[in-house]
Amino acid sequence: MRKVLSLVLALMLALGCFSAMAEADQIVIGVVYKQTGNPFFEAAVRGFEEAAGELGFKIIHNGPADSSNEGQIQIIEGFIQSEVDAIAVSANDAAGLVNVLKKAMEKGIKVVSWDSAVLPEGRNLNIDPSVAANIGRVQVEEIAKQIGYEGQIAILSAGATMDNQNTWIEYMKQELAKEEYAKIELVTIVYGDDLTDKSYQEMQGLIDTYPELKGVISPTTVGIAAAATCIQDNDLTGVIKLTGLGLPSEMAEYITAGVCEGMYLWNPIDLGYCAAYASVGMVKGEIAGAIGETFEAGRLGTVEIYDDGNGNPFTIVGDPYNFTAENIDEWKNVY
Amino acid sequence: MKTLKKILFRWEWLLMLLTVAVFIFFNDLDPKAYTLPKLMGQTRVYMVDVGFMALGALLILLLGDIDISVASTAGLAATVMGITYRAGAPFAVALLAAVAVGAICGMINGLLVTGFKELFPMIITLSTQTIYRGINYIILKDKSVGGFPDWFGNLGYDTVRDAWFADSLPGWVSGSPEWIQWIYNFVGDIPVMLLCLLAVFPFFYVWLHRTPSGRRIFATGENIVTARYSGIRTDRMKIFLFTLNGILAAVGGIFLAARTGAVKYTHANGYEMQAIAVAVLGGASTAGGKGSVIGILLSLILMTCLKNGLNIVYNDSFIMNLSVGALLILVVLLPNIARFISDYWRVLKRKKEAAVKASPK
Amino acid sequence: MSKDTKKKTSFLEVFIKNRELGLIAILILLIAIVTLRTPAFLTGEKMLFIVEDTATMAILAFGMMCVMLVGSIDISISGIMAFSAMAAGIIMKNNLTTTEVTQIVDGVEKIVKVRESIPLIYIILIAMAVGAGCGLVNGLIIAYGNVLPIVTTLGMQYIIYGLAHIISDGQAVYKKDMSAAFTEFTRDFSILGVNSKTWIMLLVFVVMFVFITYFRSGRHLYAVGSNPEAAEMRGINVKRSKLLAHIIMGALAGLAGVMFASHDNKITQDLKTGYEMYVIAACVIGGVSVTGGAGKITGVLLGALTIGVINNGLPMLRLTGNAEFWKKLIQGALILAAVVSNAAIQRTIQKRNLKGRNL
Repeated sequence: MRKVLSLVLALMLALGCFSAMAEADQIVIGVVYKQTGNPFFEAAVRGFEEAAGELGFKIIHNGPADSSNEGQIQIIEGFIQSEVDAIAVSANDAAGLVNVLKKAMEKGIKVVSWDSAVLPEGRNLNIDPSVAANIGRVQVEEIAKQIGYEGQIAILSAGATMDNQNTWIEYMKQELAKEEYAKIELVTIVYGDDLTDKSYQEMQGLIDTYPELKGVISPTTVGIAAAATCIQDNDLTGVIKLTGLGLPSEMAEYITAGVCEGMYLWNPIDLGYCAAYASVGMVKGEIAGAIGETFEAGRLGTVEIYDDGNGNPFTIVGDPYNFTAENIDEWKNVY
Repeated sequence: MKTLKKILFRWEWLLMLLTVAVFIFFNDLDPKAYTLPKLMGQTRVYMVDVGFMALGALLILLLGDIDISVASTAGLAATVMGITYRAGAPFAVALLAAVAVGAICGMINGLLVTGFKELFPMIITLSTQTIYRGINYIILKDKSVGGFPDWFGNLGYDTVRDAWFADSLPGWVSGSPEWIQWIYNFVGDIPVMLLCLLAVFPFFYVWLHRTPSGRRIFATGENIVTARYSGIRTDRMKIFLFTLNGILAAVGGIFLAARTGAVKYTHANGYEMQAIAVAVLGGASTAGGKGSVIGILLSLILMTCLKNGLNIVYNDSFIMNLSVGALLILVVLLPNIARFISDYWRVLKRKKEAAVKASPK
Repeated sequence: MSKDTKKKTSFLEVFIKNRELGLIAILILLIAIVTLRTPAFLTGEKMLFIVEDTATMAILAFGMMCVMLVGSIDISISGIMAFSAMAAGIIMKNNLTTTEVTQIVDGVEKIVKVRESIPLIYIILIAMAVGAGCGLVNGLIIAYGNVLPIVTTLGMQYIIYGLAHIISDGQAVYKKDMSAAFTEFTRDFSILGVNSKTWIMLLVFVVMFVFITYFRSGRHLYAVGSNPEAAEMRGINVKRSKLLAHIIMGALAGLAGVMFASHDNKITQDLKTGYEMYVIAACVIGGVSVTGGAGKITGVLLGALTIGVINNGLPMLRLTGNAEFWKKLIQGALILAAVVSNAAIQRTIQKRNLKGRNL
């Protein structure tokens, strides 16, 4: 029996190397993201860390291994238990985190949602990467430009249940209803569930079922990369145009090769940086999270809190950034 | 001597010792957050919903079968509860509907498993897993269903203190010695959900370990052919146990919904493996005929201590999973290694004795 | 004996000997259904693409067959794939050199960046070795530690994903970090118009076929699975056979890992989560018994192709709008239907077989 114990303890002591303890009296911010090991969120955490270095607070961060709502609840409960001062969360499910975050707010913890919002009753402030309407619009503009304002296009989205993508697709449809896009026909929307092989199979399905297809919009980083691979594999570079939201590091080779002439994404580092400043500001009581307030967010300058149209406070970091063959080399090693 | 050995070398002791070791270890690392009362509050996260499913998993593992569709069943049941309530039915009816859905899903599994004996239950429940999740997806699509009654949402987070205790310490407590106050506060920290789980344990313990019908389950799991020849209606028993498993999964799904407050089609995704891991850690064997209700309870407590500790100290989900996996294998492997070593010694001793006997006087 | 009965028995015999015929019927039915909706489905090109797309799954299924033959199972293969691909990918990334070469493309001089790293074969071998190492651990725990396979590999799944997470440090390996040879070996390289993945799969198929048919240790896998005690008595080292099966599985999972990585042009630490279920389904549809001792490699190939047709056929059904949500259900129902109908076919064959014996 002693052997058992010593073995287990040895194992755990080995794990102890990873541990990092919070010092007393320091502001601690718990960062929750959708999934551990996702490079986008790794970059966002770098933004949080940058702000932590400037303002002298501490962050602890974690995300579930399987991008589940239940896993996020587990992590948030742990943060409440560790008595963090603020929780900054990118939610896997807008509604599913409300109960636990309400519990956190009851205990005086400030809640800021970033990247992917929680329902208004479960947060103090929401930080959007950009205005959703803009994100939808720029992608339609880009694909229209690429295909010459004429022909069939399709959308390769993530899951059919993802709030972000669905909102953007709604705005894309609104944009496509405009007169200058009259000759563009949106033939179908398919879903790759943010899995590489399923996205690839869906893309292959699109190519086979719609021989006239001119362009594809994929507003998800997994989808656009799989679509690019698929287009290249079918030797359709230049025949089927591609745009959407993609990670520069992942898409660099396809942009240089001309498979994807231009795509968009916001800067996750800035997003984390801004969320960190907002969280600390709220903990210190410098901002209350009311509409019309402004706060200083380090190198990003003054940020204003707007009304999201339903009377809920939110703020935006900036417009989606356009990546093309000219500027991709600067960014491919950043995130 | 033999009985003493039996008592001393029980699986349960190992689990308890491990739990104490884990607790001391993490308490030392984070004495502020990792305390007994706070841990008690966390049981609602790590114990309750998984606990119901682990009880179900125990039933199925006892038979020597396996069910990996429980998480989908839980999800579907919670969804049906949500939509029934949204459609205007009283909440009690919604709850009943959820349990009924769980029973139906479980029964379908049972019928398929007994109907196609040449197919391993794993592959059947693998397909029904996708099918139940698929039905869930068709019902909910990209929406989530929520807006349950307040008491249901509170159930997910309330402790005994919130539910029944007065706001301030009653006179008889504040006047008592400190340890009574501590106990009072500790009891106050128990989540209501945990009480619901603990309430079913005695029933399962008595049924499985103290009644003939429980023993018949063990007998069937150990050897289904002899069980059938000795007059046990194994098919009927299997269908019944799969149905019960479905009901337990539904109950787990309902409690999970009380915590999340909204049900999405991915509800309870991945819980089947957690439930099986808890059951195996609790002493159940996938080969059938082995396992205990007490073991399940102890392994749930161990999991809570370990997972919560890893969660708040390391903040890395992969490290948490890695440790749980390592623990699972180590705990199951160690008794085998111990047995191997003791066998080896015995053989060595016998050889020596034989050598002594064989040697000329 | 009359001429008629003789003919009937021979037909029956053919059917019994080739239980794969039932599978082929199911496969044809599936293809017919999709073709009815989208005629473009039934083209040689598309069929070849499905084989190509299924090749990696088939390789995994061959390994899984070995494991299932000895009465074991491995649900840690997606973890092994992620870990071995990540290990190989990181080594490749750290040895990457980029050189600029002037090439003449369409008569225009162009500067092309060429990414080079350690030779492709080393990368593949590293991944296979890492995979075999994981398989070795699985096998040791299962065969020598006497722990049930599903418990071992469930725990190992968590552990191996954790290791992949630790070595990756949260970063992914993308196309820009891969050598050109690596990204191209599953696509640009084809013989007789057939893609290299298909050729690799066929190579593994032939090697495995020869191994389990003509090699003693290969045939032992069947003996161990159908009756371990009898096998032990016949002097077969049961534990070593189990260990061998798991090592084969691990090595093939390593190979499959780099093939997926090359095809997807990226390696993330959650590469192919949940893929083991497809592979097990492919084996079971192909007639491999989960309790061990029975199963043919041709059946496994057909089983994998069935899943491949389902996965590739679903996007071609042109389900849009609300029908999108039916896909999951259809997928599960088709797998269940394939498994159950295969079982039903076997049952009728056996019944008729028994009847024939009584007569």
